[in-house]
Amino acid sequence: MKPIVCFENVCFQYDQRKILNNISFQVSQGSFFIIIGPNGSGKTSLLKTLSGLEKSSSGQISILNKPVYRYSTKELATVLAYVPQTAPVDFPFTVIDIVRMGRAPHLGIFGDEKKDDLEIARQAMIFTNTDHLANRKINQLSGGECQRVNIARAICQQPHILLLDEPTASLDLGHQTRIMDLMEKLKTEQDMTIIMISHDINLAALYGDHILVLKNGDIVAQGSANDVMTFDILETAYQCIVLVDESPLGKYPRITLVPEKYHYVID
Amino acid sequence: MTKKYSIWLRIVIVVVITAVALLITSLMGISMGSSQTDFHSFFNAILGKDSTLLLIIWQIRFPRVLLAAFVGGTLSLGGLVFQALLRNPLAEPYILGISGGAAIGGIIGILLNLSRFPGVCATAFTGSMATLALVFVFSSGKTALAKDSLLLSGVILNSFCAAVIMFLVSIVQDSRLHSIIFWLMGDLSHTDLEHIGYISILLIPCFIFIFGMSHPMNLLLMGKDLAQSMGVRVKTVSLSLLIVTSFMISVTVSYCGLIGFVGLVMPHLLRMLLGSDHRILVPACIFGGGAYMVLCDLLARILPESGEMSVGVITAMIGAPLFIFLLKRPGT
Repeated sequence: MKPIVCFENVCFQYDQRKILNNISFQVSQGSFFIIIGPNGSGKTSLLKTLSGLEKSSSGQISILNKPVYRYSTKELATVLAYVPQTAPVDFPFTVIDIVRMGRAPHLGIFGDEKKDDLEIARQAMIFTNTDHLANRKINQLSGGECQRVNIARAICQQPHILLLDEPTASLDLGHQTRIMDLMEKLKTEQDMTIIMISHDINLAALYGDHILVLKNGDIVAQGSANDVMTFDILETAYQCIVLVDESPLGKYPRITLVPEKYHYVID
Repeated sequence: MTKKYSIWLRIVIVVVITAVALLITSLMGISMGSSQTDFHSFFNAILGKDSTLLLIIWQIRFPRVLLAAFVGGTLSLGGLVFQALLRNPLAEPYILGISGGAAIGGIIGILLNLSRFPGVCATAFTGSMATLALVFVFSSGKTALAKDSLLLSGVILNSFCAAVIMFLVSIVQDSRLHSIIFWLMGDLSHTDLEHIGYISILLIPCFIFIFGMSHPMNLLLMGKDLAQSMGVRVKTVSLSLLIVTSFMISVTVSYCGLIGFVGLVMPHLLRMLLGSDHRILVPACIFGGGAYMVLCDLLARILPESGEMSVGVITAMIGAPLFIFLLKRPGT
């Protein structure tokens, strides 16, 4: 599969503090790429340098064989869409207003929508099962509904790549699987490349085609779930004890946390 | 507001409604006043039967109504832009210290016995620009345009200015004190058509610019990062909006002093009625804010038995209850 995103020796500093050290990797087109790693390992910075929100201090990041810095802000928004962990909106926009905002990079400065744009917004809402919420206020929705609206807005941008920063972090089990299934559907039905940060390594193992493990701004390991979800790698990355066996679903690794009171079992 | 219509049609509908409101309040404002207060004599004057009243209407009431419309529109629009830019519903046009700086400048102008126009206006404008520059310096560097550093610098500078104003007021003993107090309360009474001409040349381009930026402002409400990920050049857009809006507020404050409340309440009122789309809110604020100010100014002129009261008193006395009423309305 051909690479859609390419990091070559990328470093990133913030306030003279090194966040990313010489990172190199590639993301294949149409894959589900998941970044895991402990807090402060540089996951969010990695997404921000990719999306042009922060500038890397050295190295090159390219999307579709073109360096990120050569994209205009608007052009980049038609290639990449971003879904944050939570998007607090203090102002009472309706759901349909928010979803339609996703069309902005395809419109003039005044955001004057054509019929096609409205149809794309409608389809995005049907796809994410938010069409029944269309006229509700965004600040009156539950966390799961809010996140689905956010994804609908991002889909509306018709990007090649969807970036998500822990989209399931504050959601219950049901919503977590629904969001992840939605991502898988985007990947298979629309050939979208999904790049996601996740703290849930079991979800990452179940859905990720390729997993990148970051720690202190370095890549600890990368590869398929079975390659990276090992006792050693996870212990190095998170500094905690886990058990890894096969999921009852077969072929996936299953990770079980081992609390301190059970450490004697491991020894 | 139904979503079936295209954005332009919705804008036209809102503009027509608010413009009609502005027209009606303006007609009331022109026909009523301390000398003749009924439509009958107004029409007589228009038809040429009462040349004294025609003179009053043309030279005094008409420019004043125009000024009120401009000031109301500018302050409401300023509040709207600052609320979006700072993503803070408590923001109002004076929040970045423009008012404090303008007031110090204005008071200095009055103390120097300068004429009201252009003297005091010029010193007030200089004062507001100086505070604005200071706010930018304070909040620039690593934290440039981070919403809180800008907000905090503005609030702190405003309180410093308030202390200086109190100091200046307390050392003045003579008749200039009265001019100062009146200036601080906001005053629409000293104007003529020539000044309105100057003001409109300065303000109308600002209105047009802000209207053009109304869709990026919608996206900005989603947060800086999200706005940028949807293609908005956040730094350019926020900085240009900040400068244009501050300029426009400085012009009105320098000309007619501090008129409070309208800039905080009108954007919220209109948002509650029309939703959060700035493409609709910007024109609604210009015309609706204008209409509200014309009405308040009319009440300020005709309510007192003799003389007139400060228009700021009326804007707050009507605005606050109206605001609470809309806030508590079921279904919002």
